[in-house]
Amino acid sequence: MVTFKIARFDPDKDKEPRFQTYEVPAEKEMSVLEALFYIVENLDGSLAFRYSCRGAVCGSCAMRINGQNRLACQTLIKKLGSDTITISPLPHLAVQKDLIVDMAGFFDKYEKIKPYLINNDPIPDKEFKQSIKERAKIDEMINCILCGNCYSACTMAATNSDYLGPAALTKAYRFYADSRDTANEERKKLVGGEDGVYRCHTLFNCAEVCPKNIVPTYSIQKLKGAA
Amino acid sequence: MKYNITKLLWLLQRISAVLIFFLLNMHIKRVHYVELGQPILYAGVALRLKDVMTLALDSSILFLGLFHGLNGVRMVALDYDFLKKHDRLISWLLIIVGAAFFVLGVKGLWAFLIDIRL
Repeated sequence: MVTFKIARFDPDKDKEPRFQTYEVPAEKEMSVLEALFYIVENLDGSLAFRYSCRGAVCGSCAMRINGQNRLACQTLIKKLGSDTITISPLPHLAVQKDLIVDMAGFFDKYEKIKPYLINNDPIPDKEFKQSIKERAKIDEMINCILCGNCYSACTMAATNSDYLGPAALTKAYRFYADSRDTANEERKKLVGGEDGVYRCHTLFNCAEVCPKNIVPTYSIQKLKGAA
Repeated sequence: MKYNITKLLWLLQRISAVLIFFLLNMHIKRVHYVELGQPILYAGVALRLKDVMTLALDSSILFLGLFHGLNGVRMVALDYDFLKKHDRLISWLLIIVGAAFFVLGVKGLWAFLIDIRL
């Protein structure tokens, strides 16, 4: 049996968040997300959390597990090495219910950096070609699944509501470094302001919690040099 | 154009840090190791503070230290929403504080060479 201490909060009913305890019969290779399913199906159907793909691809089940931002689907109970697992919503974000947080600000900033390929060149007959070497420059950044773990772990994003944050800046670099993109000057202006790359204090909190082992600080430093 | 000033201040913060490191080493060497073991006398200190090179070095450290420290304070202030909206006021306040401390420091440093009266 594994004890789950889960943060509960319903803004419509509760005045303050509280922790509720559940006992879950942990099986071999059981993930935290599966334990949450067990709780909802067998113990408490009112527990709210986000999930979708169950395979660390969608980034929906990001939450704080035993003091660190992780994906619930990717986190195996046995790897946590503890009989008690504490789960709370991602910090520094408004709680909508239980483990569900408001991601609107996160996606607003993501939109600000124009997260799409901009190429004003005439469209070639077949495709915009890219060599393997050129593609390799953005391999890491393309893996970002926008789970928000890095954004929530970033202390700058927590205190400065206008700071673009590590995820948006990583994506900005992904397009800046893309050999097919022709909007580098525009992108530099988007990220070069007081709330852009220069707000990063290189604390590496973002890199520590990324489920895809991306180092957003690298992208941010590269953009600092370019902007 | 504001983003360029942001970058300039960010860059100067790093350059000033490197310069402070080297100049401070020179300062410590000149002040404490040139006449190692000799008694520290008022007349000796006065003599050193009449040397233009020493005064230029110390004044540079003072300027760079003030810039580095106060620019750091500004950067930390802008990390917070409630202070960020007063960016201009904070910046001017820090410039005034920096200028005042620099003038006071220079006045003390150069006192043996030039009599600066405020």
